[in-house]
Amino acid sequence: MLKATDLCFRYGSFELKNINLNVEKGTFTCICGSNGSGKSTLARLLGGALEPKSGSIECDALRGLVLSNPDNMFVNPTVEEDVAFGPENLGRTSEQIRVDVDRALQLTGMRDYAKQTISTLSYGLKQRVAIAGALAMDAQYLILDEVTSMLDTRGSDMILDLILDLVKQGKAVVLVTHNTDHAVFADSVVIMDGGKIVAHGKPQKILNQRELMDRCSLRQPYTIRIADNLRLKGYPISSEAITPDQLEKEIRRCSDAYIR
Amino acid sequence: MLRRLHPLTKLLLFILLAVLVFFEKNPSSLILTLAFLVFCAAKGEIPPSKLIRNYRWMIFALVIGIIASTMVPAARLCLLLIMSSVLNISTTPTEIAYAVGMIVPSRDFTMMVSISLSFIPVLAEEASRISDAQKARGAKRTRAAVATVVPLFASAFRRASDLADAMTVRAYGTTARPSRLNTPRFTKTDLGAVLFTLCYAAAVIFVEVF
Repeated sequence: MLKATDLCFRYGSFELKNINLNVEKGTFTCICGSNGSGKSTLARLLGGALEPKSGSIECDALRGLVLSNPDNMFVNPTVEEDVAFGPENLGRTSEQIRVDVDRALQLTGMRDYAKQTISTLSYGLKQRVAIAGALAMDAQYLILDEVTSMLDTRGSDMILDLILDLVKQGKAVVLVTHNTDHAVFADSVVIMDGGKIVAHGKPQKILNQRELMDRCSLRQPYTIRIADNLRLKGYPISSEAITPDQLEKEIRRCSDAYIR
Repeated sequence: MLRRLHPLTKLLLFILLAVLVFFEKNPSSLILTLAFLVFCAAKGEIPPSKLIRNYRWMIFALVIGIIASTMVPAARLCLLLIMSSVLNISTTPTEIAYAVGMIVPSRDFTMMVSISLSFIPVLAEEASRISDAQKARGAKRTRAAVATVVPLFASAFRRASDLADAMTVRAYGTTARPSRLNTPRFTKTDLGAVLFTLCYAAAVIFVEVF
């Protein structure tokens, strides 16, 4: 488990106050907040790039942190050399590094690009390489800071699919984002505002609170807005339906009931 | 074949050739060096267009040489430019950093060299983007140059901070003896390259002395 207890951090006038958060293996947690809410600082603290001023972070396995701009994360020119950077630093044997690199490239679907120069890849593929770099170290907790912010919708969907795959394989993923459309797929959602966690719970419970979302300068996901509009028009859409698939099923159920 | 040589062999032979060029006064030895470099480029499958990619500097050096009636130093400079092209094209920045690391056994220094080399194109692209943005906002050419430097430095520091965080979380510095995925090994080809270069050096010395 990745456990943050009473975490505090301060730089300049910004302060992150009393953050308490538990992340279990095999879960997908989404941290949402507007610009300046402290979500990236929290991501760096959880990822181990920053030391908290007070409080503690306990973790029972290796963590990996991926930042928004993949170009700022690469140390080596080719895909496999860069993915190998973490295991090399851990002093693993070259045979073990080869196994780790192959496994990470397989998990991220980047095996065909192993020998390619990173600078020739698209941003979406670069993000996959950055995630592979964390996976090669055998990180069980992945902290992804705004990894979809520089991607087009297709690239963004590719990364989301990858995240859901990794969660199925037992990794814990913490995605920091201001795009609430991704949060509907999470197991739990954390809303941050002014350096504090203002809400934490199941996405159905958090994302349906329009007032909370407005107060934190966040937009409700499209699926929830569509469901709200349909409810206003008298369709009995369940508030539990928040993903596109769930909403589609609800709309089919309502239209079948209407036809009958 | 040139690309398969151990990076340390290439780096040391490059240093030897560069030193040798400075002692060349005879046009015959300069032509011999040019022939040697063309041979190396052919072995490294380097197209001639890439060999003279620094042609602006070569033209500049030759024009200065004609004006000052000193063609030998101008020719030496041109040979050095061709030589650096051969080394850069046949050796990746990581390999150069690895070779430097074998001479200066400090991993931080090697990493610094490697990162500096790999970030040159990234910063050049960033500078071009900032410059375009300044021009789009009506900045004059000289002012645009000045106005490019500050945001470029700001961006470079931001990138450096991100990279430092990324390296920290990827366990950089946690072990005194990090391992390597691919370790270059010395082969018979390296021995052959060294012997061939020594024969060339002997030929140059012979031409210069006699």
